[in-house]
Amino acid sequence: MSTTTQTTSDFSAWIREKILMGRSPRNYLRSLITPFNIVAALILAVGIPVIGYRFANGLGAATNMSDTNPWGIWIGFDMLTGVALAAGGYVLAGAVYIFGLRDYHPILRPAILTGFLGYFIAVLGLITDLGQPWRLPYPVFVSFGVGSVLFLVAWHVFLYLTVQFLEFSPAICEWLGWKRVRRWVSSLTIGLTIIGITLSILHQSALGALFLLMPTKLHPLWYSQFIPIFFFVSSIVGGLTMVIIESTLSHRIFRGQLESERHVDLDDITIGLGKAASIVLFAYFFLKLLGIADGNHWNLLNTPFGYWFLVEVLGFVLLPCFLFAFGVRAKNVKLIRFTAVLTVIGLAINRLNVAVIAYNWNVTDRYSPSWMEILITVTLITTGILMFRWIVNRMPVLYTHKEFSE
Amino acid sequence: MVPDIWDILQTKGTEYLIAIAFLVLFIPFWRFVNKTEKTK
Repeated sequence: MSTTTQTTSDFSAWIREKILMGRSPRNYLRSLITPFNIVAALILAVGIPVIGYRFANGLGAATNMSDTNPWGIWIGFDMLTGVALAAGGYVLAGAVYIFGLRDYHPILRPAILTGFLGYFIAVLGLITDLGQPWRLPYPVFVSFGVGSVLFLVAWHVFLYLTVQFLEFSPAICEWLGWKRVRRWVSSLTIGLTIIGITLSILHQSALGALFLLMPTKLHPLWYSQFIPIFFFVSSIVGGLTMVIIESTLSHRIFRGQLESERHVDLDDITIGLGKAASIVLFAYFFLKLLGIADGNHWNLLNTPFGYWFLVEVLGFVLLPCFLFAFGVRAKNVKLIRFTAVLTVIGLAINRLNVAVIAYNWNVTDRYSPSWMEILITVTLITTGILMFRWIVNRMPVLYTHKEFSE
Repeated sequence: MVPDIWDILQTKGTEYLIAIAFLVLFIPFWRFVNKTEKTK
């Protein structure tokens, strides 16, 4: 009897320490009442039943998609943009562990967490789009469609999500106090980084390769045989800029966690990331020019779609490239952060152009998202933000755990 | 339809020009990015 009481007491103490952050259940619930949480709760209260409605009644009832336009914003934004912006994990892991840029180590864990959650939310968006979630493991365990690019994408997402979880697992082990498991997963770091980079290069470009199958559906200015390379190179920029935004916000919102930490000069890290983004954007701009030259589509630039293409390439590739360069030269961190936001918007525009706006450009039945599609997207993004905050508040993501400092 | 040989040459020529332009412009751009302004 006393043993049972002891176990229950231990469990209560564990819940209080690890889950409720040392507070009593009443105090913890009271601390949850904040303006942000109220807005998030309202979004989830409306969004989750709408997701249920989509699964119960199908795509036709909840979306504006059709046989002509089978891909909407769940693919164009949640999946393609989400995955591109989640590239920070492999970019930073490669920089730190492969290229030895140890200065960026303090922002590695949040970058890997952002990457993992970005992929996780993209998969949730994909499940919402595909329906029948119980069939999600089919490409991996049941039905091998080896001739399909989607089969490749399914395997990449499955493997890379697993790799990212393992890359982040040292933080989970430190949180739970599992020293031996932590030592074991830490020994896998270099191997996981190499596998992660390989899978990311394949996966980011495979998402672009999907559109190689659609030369008549995608506008010629966006269609190119180089589209897998465009997707891969732009994902590097997406990863770098997302890390700039995420690290800036994290250092403001979770300032309390950083006080005891050794001084990390975030400004220097931001300038370094801005420099890398500037150089990659410069190369990406010339690659986009090669895409036009390859199809000899210069005459299409003087059309409405051409003007929109120029807005994307000049306004959201070349302009950020030079803004980053000027920001780095002048050590103007505010300019670099503003440019990072501009670049993320540009990347989202690019993916939406490829998957939605310039897709089926020559048909009369044009697609625009329904309110339920937009609401579900907002719900998924809110879920991602809440998960990020829940984890950062509990696990050693922004700081080094005292017992595990190396 | 068989593409005209001059069209192919023009397309390939433009691609080579873009590649050379990238290589030529990249060096000054690299120097520009890596040269930080002296603090006053």
